[in-house]
Amino acid sequence: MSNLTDLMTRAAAGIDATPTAEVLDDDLARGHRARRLRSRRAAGAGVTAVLAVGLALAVPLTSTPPAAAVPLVAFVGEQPDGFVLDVVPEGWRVLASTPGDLVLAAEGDSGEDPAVYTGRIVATLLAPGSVPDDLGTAPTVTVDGEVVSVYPMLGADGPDGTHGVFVAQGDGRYLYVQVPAEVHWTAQAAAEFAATVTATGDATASVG
Amino acid sequence: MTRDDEFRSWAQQHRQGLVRTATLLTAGDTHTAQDVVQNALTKLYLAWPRVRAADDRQAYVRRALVNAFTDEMRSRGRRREDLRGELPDGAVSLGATDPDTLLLYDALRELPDRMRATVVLRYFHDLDVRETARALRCTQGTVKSQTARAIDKLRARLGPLLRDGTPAPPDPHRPDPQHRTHPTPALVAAPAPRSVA
Repeated sequence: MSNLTDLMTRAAAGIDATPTAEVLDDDLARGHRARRLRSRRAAGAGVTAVLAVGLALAVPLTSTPPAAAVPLVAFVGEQPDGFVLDVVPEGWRVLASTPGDLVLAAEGDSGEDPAVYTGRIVATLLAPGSVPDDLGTAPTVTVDGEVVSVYPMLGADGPDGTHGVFVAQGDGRYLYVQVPAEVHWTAQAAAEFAATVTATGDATASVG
Repeated sequence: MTRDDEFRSWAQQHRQGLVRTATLLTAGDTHTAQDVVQNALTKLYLAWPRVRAADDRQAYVRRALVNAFTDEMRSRGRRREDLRGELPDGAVSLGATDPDTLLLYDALRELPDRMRATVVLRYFHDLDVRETARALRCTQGTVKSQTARAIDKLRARLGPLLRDGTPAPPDPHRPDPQHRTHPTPALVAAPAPRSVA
């Protein structure tokens, strides 16, 4: 059937689509717009989710309102090693970063022992084969058309509000982002945030 | 070099290849092909650090293009339902005048979208069954069956054009024999790249 290859090759060769500078400018402009939109959407997702929960529960005015989701704000400051941040939870900062791990801490976190992840956001790149065996059956949400797995993490008494998010990188590796209960995000909000975290070429994948 | 500089440089080199693949995926509909490429490039820009770091960048880009194609066709399918009867069937905006190319696009247009994508990846990109299954996120068995059915349909539609490397003889019963210039030296002399990255 090599003739089909020849036919397709000849058809393709007849298409002159050499990009002009204007076409490339437009491509970049669309990319910039999409990036801004993604950041804004991620920033709004947590707040919207909590408002929705509050309305659904018809919380009486006299009761204690549910803890507000920490909103996302644009990240300013020096980008960490191995990762690029577009947004961070308001008041949170980069506590530690290596090409293997990124740790974010909340306002008021003393910063002691960056290797302790409790109550902190952690991002790490996982090598192929280092993801849970049951990843294919984990709960999923959709972000930008991509399926993202989000595990409800278990504490001593069951799910404790921590989300374990796995974002496929397209090459067999996964970006794992652990989001603690302290930000009060839904699985969708956690996944939206995780999708804004980019592992750069300098990030090293963990094997374990 | 900034992220934008890198992306722009890469797009300058590879955009034409993406458009060529997308044009085959859309069976010669260059307007839809441009939409598909634009959407794929936007996704690739968002994921650029991942794209740059990918062990197999070609595979990553192919998957982005196929995803954009699938999304676009699904979206157009919905719009077509809304506007049924108002759109011309198989509208093609194509500058190509090579009659074999027009026949090829006619034949490809009769294939379901996923089946068309399968043969484009198998025969234009020269991917094996495993690579094609990975790009389409389906099983290798699906690729094999889709390929077999596609080839049967194309053979029935294109007839002599698909006989092993032999230029098709003039045939008065073929739909568009006029201005036949096959083989076209200018086109043969400028083969298209088969990769997208």
